Amino acid sequence: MNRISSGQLTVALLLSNAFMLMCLSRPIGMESMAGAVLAFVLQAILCIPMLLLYRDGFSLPAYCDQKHFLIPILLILYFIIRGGISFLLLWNGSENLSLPFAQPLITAGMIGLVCLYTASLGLKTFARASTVVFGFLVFSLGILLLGAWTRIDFRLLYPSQDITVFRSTLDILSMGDTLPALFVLLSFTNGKKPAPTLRFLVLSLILWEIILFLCITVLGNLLPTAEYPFFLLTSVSQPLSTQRADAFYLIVFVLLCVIRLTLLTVLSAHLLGMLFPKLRFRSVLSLAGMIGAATVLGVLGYTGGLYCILGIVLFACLLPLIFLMQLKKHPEWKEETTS
Amino acid sequence: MKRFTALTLAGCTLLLTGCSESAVEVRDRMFIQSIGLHEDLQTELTLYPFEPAGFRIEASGSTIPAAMEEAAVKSGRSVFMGHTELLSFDDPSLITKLSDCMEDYRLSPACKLLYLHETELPEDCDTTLLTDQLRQEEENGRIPKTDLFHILSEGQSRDGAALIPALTEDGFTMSIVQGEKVLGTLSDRAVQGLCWLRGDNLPKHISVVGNEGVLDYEISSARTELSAEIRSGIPYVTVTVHLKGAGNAEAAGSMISVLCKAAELETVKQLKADVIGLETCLAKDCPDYLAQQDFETAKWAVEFEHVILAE
Repeated sequence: MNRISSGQLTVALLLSNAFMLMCLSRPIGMESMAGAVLAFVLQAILCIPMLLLYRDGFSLPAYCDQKHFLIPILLILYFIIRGGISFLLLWNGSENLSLPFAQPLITAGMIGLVCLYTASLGLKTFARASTVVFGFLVFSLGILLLGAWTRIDFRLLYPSQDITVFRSTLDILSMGDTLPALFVLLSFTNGKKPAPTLRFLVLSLILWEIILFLCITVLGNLLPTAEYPFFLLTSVSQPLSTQRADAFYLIVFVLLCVIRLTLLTVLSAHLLGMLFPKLRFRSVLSLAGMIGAATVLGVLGYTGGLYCILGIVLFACLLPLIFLMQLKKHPEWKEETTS
Repeated sequence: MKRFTALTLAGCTLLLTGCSESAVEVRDRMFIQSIGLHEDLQTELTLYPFEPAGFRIEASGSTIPAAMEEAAVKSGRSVFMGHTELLSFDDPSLITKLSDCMEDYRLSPACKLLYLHETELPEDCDTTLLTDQLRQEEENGRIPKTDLFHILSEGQSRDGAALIPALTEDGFTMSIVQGEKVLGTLSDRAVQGLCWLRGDNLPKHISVVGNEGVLDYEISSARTELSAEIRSGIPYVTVTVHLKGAGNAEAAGSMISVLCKAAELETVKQLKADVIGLETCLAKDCPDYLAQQDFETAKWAVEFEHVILAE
């Protein structure tokens, strides 16, 4: 069976979250650090129905086996739209990180090919690849800290006049689109379910806090002018005078993007497979859908916003809550009934 | 076998990276050590590559990118400025273009800036030596430590004033630039006082000439803290200097106070420029005052107090 370990689940979701953090283009201040804490606490609360549902033995494949189409199709659409937004974030980010790509479509095509290959190898291989990329992320964080260390100015940690904790909480919560992915992935995870969920949220929070802290204390007055604070931070964080670290950040950025897109592709392809077992080229269809969504969203100029919270609450909390309430009436949705 | 095939394919892919159209061979790339910018009717650019010593390329154009293109054509090589150590210029309006330069030409954030105040670099200028001299001045705490990133960041502060190293006929000093104009050039005392007020780089010793002769204080470590409070509607900023070292601490403390006063007078009071982190200090300790009060009024009203704590 195509299952992953709880550690691999943690890493895959963490990397997906890290990509969103890299593409952060909202105002940052000390309030954002408090906002991040609140946003992740809220995400943990939103996960409670999901965790209770899986504790009671719920299985998404078993649910799909009962010919329920609406919810899986909504999830597929959600993942495709999030994938499209990820492509857009990559295109926008590439301008700030001097990616050597000539055209956005070629970028999308090449990254799509890599995602397609990774997705075709299955969930297990993808999870293993995530572990390797996680190593890259930790290493790049080390380089970032090393380069930014001398520029940290603690005096810059003071309350901002323009940013509120409430707004920051909503902004960061709107980027927590990995929760619906967690809902699907928990069906394919071995072991106890709460552990990887909590670990993923805690590690993501630590990562967010480190980057926000560095952005505030290193960028100072330049922070409000930075369209993408993380990219400005990387251009400032050059630990060696003889060798620029841009290439390394570039690799990590692209790898995170590949991991995120592959995760969304794998999930939507899996859901498609559950609904239509005879359907072929499911990954190709998912990726094509994402590129199509990116084109439409690009024309509309939409790269996310507070409306994303609705999707997160719906797929990560309300749906699991409804399933939880219905589970006693439908024992066939439980894992045991499918085996 | 599968693993071997995968590794071989991955290795071969790495070999193909040189086939990219955007790849530039090292011999086809000119690594720039220093840049000289002169703004007249046109932007005149002088590029000093790392080697050979004494070699330089002059180019001009209506804009910096145009001049850069001409320089690349003249040198016959692609120009790489990611490791540039020094950027000298004689027109302060160029500062407003530096942010774009950092992005477009990947100028290092640690690149030093040097404003040529009523002087110009000689034709046979050894820019590597000039960079080293500037660094030595900073390391010895004779002028405050700055770089491109620092200056750009300071330029984005509320009053937009930035402290920039300047080269005059007498040597290095500091100028204050605001927007596209130079507000003024500081005296030696004010420059040394700024080192203490900013606290980034401090001198290793202080010598005070008094009635008893020269009194020395060897500094082993020192740090500066700025704190603010409102008393009777007036912002009071306390500059606390923690000193560790050996020698006449009293004389050293008095000297530091004198230098700090000179810096405060010339920058905040006379030039109305905040290059000591006054805004940050008030925003941190008196946010309500700063929110209600115009920053220009705050600079006019602020009073400074000095506390030198020697161990």
